[in-house]
Amino acid sequence: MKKKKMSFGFAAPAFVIYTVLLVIPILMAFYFSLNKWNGFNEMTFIGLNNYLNVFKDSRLGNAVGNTAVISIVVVLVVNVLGLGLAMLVNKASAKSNIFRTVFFIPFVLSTVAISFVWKSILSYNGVLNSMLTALGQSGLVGNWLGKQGPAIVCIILVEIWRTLGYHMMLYLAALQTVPQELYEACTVDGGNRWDKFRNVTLPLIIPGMSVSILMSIINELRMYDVVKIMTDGGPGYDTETVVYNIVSQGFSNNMVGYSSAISVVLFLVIGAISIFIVTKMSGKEVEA
Amino acid sequence: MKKRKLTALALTVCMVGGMVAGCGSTDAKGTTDTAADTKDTAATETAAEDKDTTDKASGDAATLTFGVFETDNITAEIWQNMIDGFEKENPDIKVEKVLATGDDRQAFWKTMLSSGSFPDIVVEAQKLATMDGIFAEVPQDIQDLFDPATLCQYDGKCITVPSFRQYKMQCYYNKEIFKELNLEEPTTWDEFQNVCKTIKDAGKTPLMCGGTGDIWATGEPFWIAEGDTSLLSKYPDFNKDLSEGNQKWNNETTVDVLTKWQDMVNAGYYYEGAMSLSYSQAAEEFKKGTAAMMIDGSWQAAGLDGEKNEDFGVFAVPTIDGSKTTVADCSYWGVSETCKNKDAAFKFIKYVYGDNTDVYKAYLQSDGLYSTTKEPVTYEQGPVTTKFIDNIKDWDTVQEIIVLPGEYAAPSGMQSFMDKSFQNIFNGGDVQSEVESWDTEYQRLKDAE
Amino acid sequence: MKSMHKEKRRANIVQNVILILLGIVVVLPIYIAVVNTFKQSDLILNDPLSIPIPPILDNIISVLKNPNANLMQMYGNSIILMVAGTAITIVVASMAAYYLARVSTRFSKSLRIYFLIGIMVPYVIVYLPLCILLRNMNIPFGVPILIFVFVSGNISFASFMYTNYIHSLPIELEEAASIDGASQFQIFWQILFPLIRPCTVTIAIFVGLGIWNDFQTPLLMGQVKTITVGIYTAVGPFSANWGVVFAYVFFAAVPVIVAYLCAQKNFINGLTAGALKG
Repeated sequence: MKKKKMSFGFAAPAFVIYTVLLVIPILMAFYFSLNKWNGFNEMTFIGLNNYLNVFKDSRLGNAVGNTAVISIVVVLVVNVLGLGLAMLVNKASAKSNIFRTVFFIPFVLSTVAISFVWKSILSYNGVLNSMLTALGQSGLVGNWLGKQGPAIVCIILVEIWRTLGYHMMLYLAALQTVPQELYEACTVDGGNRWDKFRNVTLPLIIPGMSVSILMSIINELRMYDVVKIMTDGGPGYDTETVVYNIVSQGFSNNMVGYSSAISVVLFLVIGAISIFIVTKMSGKEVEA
Repeated sequence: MKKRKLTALALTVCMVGGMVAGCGSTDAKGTTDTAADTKDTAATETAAEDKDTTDKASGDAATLTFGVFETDNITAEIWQNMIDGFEKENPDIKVEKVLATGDDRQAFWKTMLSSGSFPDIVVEAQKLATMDGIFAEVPQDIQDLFDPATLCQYDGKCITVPSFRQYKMQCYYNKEIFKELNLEEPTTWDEFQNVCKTIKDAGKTPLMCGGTGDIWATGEPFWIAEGDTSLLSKYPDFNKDLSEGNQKWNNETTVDVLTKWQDMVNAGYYYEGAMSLSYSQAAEEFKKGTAAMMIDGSWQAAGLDGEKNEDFGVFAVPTIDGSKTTVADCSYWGVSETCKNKDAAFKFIKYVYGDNTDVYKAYLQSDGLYSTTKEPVTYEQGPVTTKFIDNIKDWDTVQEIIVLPGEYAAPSGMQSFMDKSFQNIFNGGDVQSEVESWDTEYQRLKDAE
Repeated sequence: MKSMHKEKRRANIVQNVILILLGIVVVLPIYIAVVNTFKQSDLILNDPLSIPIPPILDNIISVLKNPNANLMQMYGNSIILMVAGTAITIVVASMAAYYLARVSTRFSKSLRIYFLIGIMVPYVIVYLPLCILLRNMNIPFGVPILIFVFVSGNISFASFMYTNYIHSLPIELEEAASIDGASQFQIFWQILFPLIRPCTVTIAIFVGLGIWNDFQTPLLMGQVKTITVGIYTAVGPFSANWGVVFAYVFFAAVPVIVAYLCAQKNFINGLTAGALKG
C-alpha cells in the first residue's frame, strides 16, 4: 500500500472528542496547578507553590501512606494468589469451568453494590458481628470499620476479593499460551514440578504477568469507590486514599489549583510506573 | 465525486485544527496558551448565551430546582407538600427537588457548585454564603417578611433568608435505665460525669454517638454543648477576633474541652461501635436501649413527640464552666446567582414564609424548629419538646461559632474539617496537635476563598 | 507407577479443597446479599445464612415505593449511557483505528501515541477541569454530555485494540474493493467492519460494563442518577435497615449477573483480552 490518499477524516471524530474532553482538561489541570484558584474568583499565578505544599501536607501524606499500604498488599496478594489459582484451574474440565465462572463474578459487579454488601457485613451492628455473637464468640466482635488498622485491612480484603478472579483469568490466559511440548521436554530432562514452573511457566508468562501487575497497581492507585462507600475516608481521615483526597480538596474545599497539583503528581507517578514496568518486563521477555 | 470533495474539505479543516492542538501537546508553553485562550473565548460566549437564555426563560413556564436534604423528621413529604402547594397556586412554575446525599452536605453542595448544577434555591445557604457571588441579593419585600434580628449581611448585602431557629444539643436519656440505677438528671459537670461513671460501672454504655456514616454526629453534639458555650462565654467576640487574627482556636478552653471529651471516650463512656454507625443508626441503637444517653438537637425531641414515645427524658448538658449558655442556630435559604428565574424563586420563598403558614408550620413542627418570620408561627408542642425548652428557659443563647452567618463567618469547609478532627480525637488522636491543625486549616481555607 | 497415581490423586483432593473453600469465600457475600433481600431486618442479624422460606418482599417493595429512588429513571439513564457510550466509542474508535493501522506517515504514528496517553491517565485529574470547561461553555450537565465524556475516556483503549487487530488483517481485500471503485467509507463499513467483529465484542463488553458500573464519573459530573449513583443516593446515610440496602444492591447487581451468566465466555474474554492487549 503506497501512500494511498487515506483521509484523516476517519480519525477526526475520535480526535475531536478525545482532545476536547480528555486532553484539554488534562492540560487545564496542569495550568490550574500553577495557580491559586477556588474555581470562581480571580486566578492568581503562584508558580510551583502548590507542588511544594503537596509535600508538606500531612493529611495528604496520610492518604499516600494508606494508598501505598493498600496497593502493595493487594498487588502482591492478587498476583501471587491469582497465579496459583490460575494453575489450579488450568485444565479443561467442567469443574474448573465452574470455578472460573464463580471467581470472576465479583469483578463484573459494580463497586457500589459490593461495597454496600461488605459494609453491611462488616459494620459494628452488621452481619459478621451478629453471627459471631450468635456463635457464642462475642469476644471476637470487633469494630472493623471504626478504627484505622482494621478498616484498612477490611478495604484490602474487599479489594482482593473483588479483583482476584480477574487476575486469575489474566494469568490463565497467559498460561494457555505456554506450549504443552515444553513441559513434556522438561519432564524428559528429569525436571520436577518446581523446575517446570521455574524454567518453563515463569519465563513464558512474563508478558501476562507484567500486564497483571500493571493493572493491579493502576487499579489500586486509583482507589476511590470502595473507600467512599465503606468508610467515607473515616474515621477522621484515617482511610482516605490519594484520589479521595484529590476529590475532597478539589470539589469540597474548592482548592482547584492545589487538587490539580496533586492529581498531576499522581498522573506522573502512574505514568512512570507504567513505563518502568513495560520497559523492564519487555527487557526480560527478550532474555527469556 | 462531489461527496468526496466535501469530505476532503471537512477533513482539511479538521486537520488544521488537529495540527494546532497536536503541536500544543509537544510544546508545553504553547499548550497553556491555547488552554487559556479557549477558556477566554468560552467565557465570553457564556456571557452572551446567558443573556439569551434569561430573555427566553422569562416568558415561558419556568422550572426551579430546589436543593434540600431529608432526615428521619424532615421527610420527602414535607418538601413535596411545599412544592405541590406552590405549583398549584403558580401553574406556570415547576419546582424540581434536588436531594443532597452523602454524609457531608456542605461538600455535596460544593460539588454541585463546581459541576455547574447548583440548584436555584438551597436550604442550607449559610454553608456557602461566605463565597463571593454565589447567592443573589434578596429583594426588600422578601426581607420584610422576616424578624430583623435574624437577618444577616455579607459584604453589606442581604443574600440569604433565615428559615428557622433551632436549639441544639441537650442530652436525651433512657428513663428506664436512669430509674433502674437511681439516677437523677445532672445539673453540674461533676454530676454529669458521675452519672456516666455509674452507668459504666453498672456494665452499661453511658453515651451514644454516630460515626463515619455521618461525620458530624461524632463530635459536634459534645462540642456544641460544651465547646461553643465555653468559648463564647469566655470570649464573646470569638468569631470576630478569630477572623481578624486576634484569637486562635488553639487556646486553653478548646484544649480543655476536648481533653475532657477524650477522657470520657477513653473511660469507655461511649458506645464501642459508634464509629461505624450513621446518625440514624446511632439514634436507632439509642432508642433500643444500647446506650443510656445521647447528646442531640431539638429535632430528636420532635421525633420522639411525633412517635408519642415517652420512654425518654432530656436535660440540658451541664457546661464545664457552669455558665448557663446554650446554642441556638439560624439556618438560611438562598437563591443562586445563576438562577435563570429569580422572580419565580423569590415567589417560592414568599409562598413558604408569607402566604401559607400551614406549609411553614409543618416544616417547623417536623423537626422541632422555631420560626424566624416577623409574625411568629407557632405549633402545639409535645411533652419532650416542652421539656427541652423548659430546660433552658432563662439561659443565654449563643450562635454556634462555626455556622455563625455574616461578616465573621468561618470559611466553608472548616466545619467538615473539624468534624473529621473530632473523629481523630475520638480515636485517640493528640488533642494539642489536632487543635493546632484547626488554625492551620482555618487560615488555608480562608486564603482559598 | 501406582504410588505416583495415588500422590496425584491426593494432590488433586487438596487442590479441590482449596478451590472449594476459596469459592465459598467468594460467593458468601453475594449469597448473604441475595438471601437477605428477602428477609425481615431482625432475621437478617439473627440468622443471616438461612434461606428465607417463604421469601418476604417488603424490602423490594419499599425500594419500589421510595420517592427518592426512581428505579425506572435510574435504569433508563444507565442503559442510555451504556448503549450510546459503547456504540459511539466503537464507531469513532474503529474508524480512527482504520486510519492509524493503514496509514504510516509520521503524523499517523504520532497520533497513535497521542491516543495512547489516555490509557495511563488517572481519570480523577480530568473531573474538575472538565466541569469547569463545560460550565464555561454553558453545556448543561446531564446524560447527553456524559455519553461523550465516557466516549472520550474509552477512545484510547478501544482505538489501540482496533489498531492492533486491523494491523493483523490482510490488506488485499480492501485493495481489491478499492480497484472495484468502492469508496473508502464503503470499504470500511462493508468489508472491514464485519471482519473486526470479534474485537468489537471484546470492546463492547469492556466499555459497556465499565460505563454501567462507573460511580465516580456520574457522581462528580453533576450527580446524574445512574443506577450506581441512584443507589448511593437512595441508601444514603439514613438507612439503618440492612434489608433495604440489600434490596438496592439486588436491583443494581441482578442485570449484570444475568448478563454475565448468559454470556460468561464473552465477558471473561472481553475483560481479560482487553487488558492483555491493551
